[in-house]
Amino acid sequence: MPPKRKAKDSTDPPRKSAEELGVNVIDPNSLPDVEKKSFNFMAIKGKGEAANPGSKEIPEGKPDCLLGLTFVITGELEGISRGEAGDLIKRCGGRVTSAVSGKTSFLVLGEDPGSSKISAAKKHGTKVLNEDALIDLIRKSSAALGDAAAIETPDAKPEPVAKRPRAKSPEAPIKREVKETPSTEMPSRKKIKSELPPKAIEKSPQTPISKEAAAISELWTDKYKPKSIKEICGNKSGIEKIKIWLESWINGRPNDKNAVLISGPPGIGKTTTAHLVAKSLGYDVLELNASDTRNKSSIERSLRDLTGNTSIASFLKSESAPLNKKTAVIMDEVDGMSGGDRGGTMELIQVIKKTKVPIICICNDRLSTKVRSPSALQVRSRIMTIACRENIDLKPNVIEQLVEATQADIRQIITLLSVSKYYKNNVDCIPNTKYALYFSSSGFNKKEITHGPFDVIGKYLNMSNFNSQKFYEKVDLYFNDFSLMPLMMQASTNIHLIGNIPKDQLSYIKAADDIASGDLIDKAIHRSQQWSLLPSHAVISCVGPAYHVRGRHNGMYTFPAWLGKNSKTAKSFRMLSELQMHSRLFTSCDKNEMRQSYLPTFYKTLHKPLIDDPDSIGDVIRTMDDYCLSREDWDTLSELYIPPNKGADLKSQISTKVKSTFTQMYNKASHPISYIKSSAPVKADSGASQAVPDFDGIAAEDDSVEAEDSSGKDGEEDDDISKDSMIKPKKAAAKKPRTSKSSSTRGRGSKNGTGRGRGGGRGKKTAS
Amino acid sequence: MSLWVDKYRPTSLDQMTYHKDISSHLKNLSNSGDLPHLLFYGPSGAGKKTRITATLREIFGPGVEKIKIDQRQFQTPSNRKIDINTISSSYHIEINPSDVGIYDRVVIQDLIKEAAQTQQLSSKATRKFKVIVIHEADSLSKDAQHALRRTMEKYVNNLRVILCCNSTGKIIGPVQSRCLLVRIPAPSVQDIVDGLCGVVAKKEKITVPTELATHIAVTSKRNMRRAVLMLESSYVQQYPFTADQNSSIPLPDWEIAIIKIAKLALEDQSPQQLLKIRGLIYELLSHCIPAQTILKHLAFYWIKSVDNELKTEMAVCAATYEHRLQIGQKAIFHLEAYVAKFMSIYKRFLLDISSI
Repeated sequence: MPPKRKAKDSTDPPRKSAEELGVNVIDPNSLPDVEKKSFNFMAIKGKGEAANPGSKEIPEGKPDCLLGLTFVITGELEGISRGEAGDLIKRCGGRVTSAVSGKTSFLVLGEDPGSSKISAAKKHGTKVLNEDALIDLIRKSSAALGDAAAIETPDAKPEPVAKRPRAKSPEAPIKREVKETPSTEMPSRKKIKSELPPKAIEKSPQTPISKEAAAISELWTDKYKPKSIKEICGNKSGIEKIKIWLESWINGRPNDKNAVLISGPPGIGKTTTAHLVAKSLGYDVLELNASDTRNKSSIERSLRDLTGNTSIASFLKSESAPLNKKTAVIMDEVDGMSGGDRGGTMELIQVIKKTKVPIICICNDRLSTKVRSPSALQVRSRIMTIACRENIDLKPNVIEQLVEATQADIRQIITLLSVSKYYKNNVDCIPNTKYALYFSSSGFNKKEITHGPFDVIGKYLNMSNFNSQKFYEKVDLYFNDFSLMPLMMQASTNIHLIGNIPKDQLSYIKAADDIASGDLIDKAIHRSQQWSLLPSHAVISCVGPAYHVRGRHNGMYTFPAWLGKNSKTAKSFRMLSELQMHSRLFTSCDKNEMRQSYLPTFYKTLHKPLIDDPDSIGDVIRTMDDYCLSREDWDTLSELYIPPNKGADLKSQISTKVKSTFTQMYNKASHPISYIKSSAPVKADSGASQAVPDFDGIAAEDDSVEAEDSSGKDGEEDDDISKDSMIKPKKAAAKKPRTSKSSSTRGRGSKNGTGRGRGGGRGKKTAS
Repeated sequence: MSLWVDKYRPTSLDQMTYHKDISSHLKNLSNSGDLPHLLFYGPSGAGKKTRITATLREIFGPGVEKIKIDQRQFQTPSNRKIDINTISSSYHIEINPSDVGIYDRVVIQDLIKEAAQTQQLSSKATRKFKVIVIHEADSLSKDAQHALRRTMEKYVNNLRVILCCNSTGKIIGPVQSRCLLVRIPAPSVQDIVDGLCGVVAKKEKITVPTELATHIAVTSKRNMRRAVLMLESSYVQQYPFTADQNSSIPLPDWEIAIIKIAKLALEDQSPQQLLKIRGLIYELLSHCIPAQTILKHLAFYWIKSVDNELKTEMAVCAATYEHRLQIGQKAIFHLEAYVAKFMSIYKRFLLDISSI
C-alpha cells in the first residue's frame, strides 16, 4: 500500500468510542515485546490465511459503522483471513493501513504479530484489539448506528442532504470537502485541487446541463473527456515534456528527436494527452489507429505526402485557410501494428527518420512504463466532479475502491458509473455504500488481470487458495497461459508434495496419471485443431492434479524443465543424425541402432586408446576417417554417451595435452567427408565445370575402377577382388595425410539434372 | 580400421551364414528378371539391410555398392524448406523419410514420383527398373503410406520399392498387400556363436571361447550387430579372453542407466523418488534413447524382479502405457505415469505382505 494512503480520514461523525460500546480494548503497553525475526519470504508466503476459517461468526456490519477509524492488522487471525478482515473493515467504512502511525485508531492483533507494529503501537499509544474485540466492535457499533438511525433519521444522514444541492453548484462539494477535512487534507491532494482551474469548473458543468438532450446519447467517456491539458489527471511532467518537445518544432525541424513515444496501460489518457497537447499548440492532428490498415504501402501513401511537406501544402489548399497551420501525426496503438500490418513498423521508422512534421506514437506496452497510472488521489477529484455533475453521490472511499478495482483506469471508472446510473433508475435514493458493495462484491467490474505462471501455480497448489476458488475460476486460471500451465503443473507437483503429508498415500501417482491423460488431450487438440477441448484439458491437466496434491506451500515452484530438456533432446537427435549420416556409407543402421549399438563401441574405441597410449592418436584418426567422422562427431560421442557414474567419463580422463595434440593433428590433415550439404556455397551451379579438374586430382585408378564397376555386371568375382585390392591400398595410403579435400568432392552429374553439389563418397577410397 | 561389424559384413547372398533358405529365395527372385515390391521386416540386428544390399547387388551387380550421399531440399506446402539425405547409386535410392517427421508425405510424393517418372537411363543396367529402399518404414506417417499406394502400382514399370521395418504392425494393409513380405527373424544364439567364432574370430585371428560367445549372444538379445560390437568392445577392454570374462562384458551405457531407474523404483516409492527418477528419464531421453526402449526395458526388468502374483498386472500396465506413449506427445509424462503406476502397484503389494 502506498504510504500516502495511511492518512486517516477523520470525518468523525458523532459516535460512541470503543470503550463506551463496551468493547474489550487492550492497552498496548501491556503487550510483551516481540522479537524481530529475520525476514523469511517463504514463511510469509503462506501467511495471512485464516488458521481456522469459519470458526467465528463474522457480523455483516452496518456500512459506515467504522467510518473514520483506521485499522492496522498484524499477525494471523483465527477465524478470518487478513484479507477478509481488511475487506470487512473497509465495507464498514473504516480504513486499513499497513503500518502503525499516530493516526491509527486500532491495532488488530492476531497470532504471531509483527514486532515493528507492536513497538509502534506502544510508541503512539494505539489501542489494541484482538480478533474477538474487532468483531464485537463491529457488531456493537453497527447496532449503535442502527439505533441512532432509528431515532434521528433526518440528522443521521446528513451527507445525502448536503450533497444534493451539489449537483447544481459545482463548487460546493469541493468547498465542503475542504471544510470537512481541513486538518487531514493531504498536501498533494490540495495541490491537485488547486490546479483545477476555476475556468474549467465554471465552464464545463454547463455543458451537460445545457446540452442535456444531446448528452443522453453521448458516452460519458466522451462527454467528460478532458477538454484542456489542465483537466488531464496525473502525469504532469510527462505532458510537460511532450509539450516542450512539440514547441521545439520550428519550421519543420525539431531540435531534438523526430518523434515521441507515449506508453502506458489503457485508459490513463495517452491519446487524450497527445491530442490536447497538439491542439493547444495549434497543430492539425492526423490520427491513425488500429482501425486503419497500416501496412507498408498505406503508411507510405498517407504519411509520405504529409511528412515530406511543410507549409506549402496548406498554402495551396485554399486561400482562406490560415497559412501557418501546422500538422502533427498521431500513430495510436503502434503495438497493435503486427500481423496484418506487414512492414508497417519498418515503414513507420523510415517515415520518422525523414519526417518534417512531429509524429507522436502511442502504445500500451513498452519495457518500462513511462506513463504511470495516476494515483487514486489524482483520479478522485476528477471522478468527484463527474459524479456531482451527473447527480451521483459518491464517497471518497468508494472512489478509492473503484480506482483500486480498475487499476486507475479512468475510462473504465466512468463507464462503470454511467452503467450504474442506468442500472438503478433513481440514483438519489440509493445509499452510497451500496455502490461500494456492488462494486467490490460483484465480480463484473473486476478488471481481468493476467497472472504470471508462478502466481497461477501457487493458486492451484496452495490448499486454501484451491479451496476458496470456484470450479470455473480454477479452469480460468489455466487460461492465463494454457501452453505453459500443464508443464508448470508437471514440474511442481512432486516438489510440492515433498514435506507435505498428503491425505492419500497415492496422491502423487494419481496426479502423474492425470497429467499424462492431459497430454493425450493436448495431442488431440494440436493434431486435429480441436480447440474446444481446451476446457477439458484445463480440468485434467491442471485442476485434477492440483486437487490431488494441494497442500501447504513449501519450497520454490520451479520453471518447467521440460522446455529445456526438449530442446536438448532435439539437439541431441540432430547431432546423432549427423553422426549417422557421416558414417552411413560404411554402416548399415538407423539412428536408434547407431545410438544403442554403435555408440558404446565407438565411444570406447575412440577414447580408450587416447588414455592408455598417447601415440595412438594416429590410429584413432584413421578409424574416424574410415567412418568419415569429423572432429565434431568425436565430441558428439561423449556428449551422447551416458557414463554409468560420475567420473567414468572417458573424455575427461584424456589428458589435456593429448587432447590438444589430437585436435592439432586432426586439423592439420584433410579428411574424407561423406557428402556436402546442398546448402554449402561450394557449388550450386558449377558442378559440371568443377568436375573436370577434380577428376584430374584423383588418381587415374579411380576412373578405371569406375569403368570396371559399371561394366562389371558379368564378372562379380573379379570385382570382389578388385574391391579387396581397393581396400588394402587405401589403408596403406591412409597414413599419409590426404593431399586435398577436393579429391573427395568430385562433382557428378545427377540423374535428375538438378545439378546440386554432391560429394562422391567413394572417391577418396582410391586417392593415393 | 573399420569396426569388425562393418569389416566382416557379408556383401553377397552366398556369404550369409544363417537363414540360408531366405537367401536362396532372394537369389532366385533376383535372377528371375522381375522383382516384386518387397517388404523386409524383423528385429534390428537380424540382417535386413545386409540382405537388401546383397539382393540389390545380386540384381544390378557391384555397381550398387558405389553409393553416395546427396542432400535434397524440399518445400512443404507451408513453404518450409526441409532437407533430407538420400543414399544412391546409379541403380537405387535409399531414403529414410522419418528424418523429416510429419513432412514425410512430401518426400514420398516428390522424390519417389520424380524417380518413378524417369526411366532407367544407364545402358549398362540389367533391369528396366530402379529400386527405392525406404528405411524405417514403420515410422512413415499414414498420409505418406497412402501416398505410396498408388505410386507403387502406377509406376511399376520403372520402379520397385523395398520397404524395411521392424514390424508390419504399422504398415497399412494396402501397402502390405502390394509387397512380398520377407521376414528376417533374429538369428538364434547358435547362429551368433557361429558368426562370432567362425567368421569374425577366424578372420581377425583371435580365439573366442564358445562360452563367451554364447554369453554375448544372450546379452545382445540375439542382435547380430550388437553381438559383434560387444565382442569388439570386450576385445578392446581385455585380450586374450579368459573364461571368467562373462561378468565383465560391458552392457551398453543406456541399459545400465535404465536398470538404475528400475532399481530406484523398487527401492522406495515416494514423491522424492519419483522426482529423482524423472531426472534420470530426462537424461536418457536427451541422450537419444527412445521412450519406447526405456519403457520396454523397465517393464522387462520389473516383470523379472517382482513376485509371480504381480507379473500379469505388470504386463497389462506396461502395455497400457506403451499405447498411451504412442498416442501421446510428451514422452516424459507417460513414462513418469508408468513409473508411478508401477510404484503404486508395488507399494500396495508390499503393504499387503507386511500386514499379513
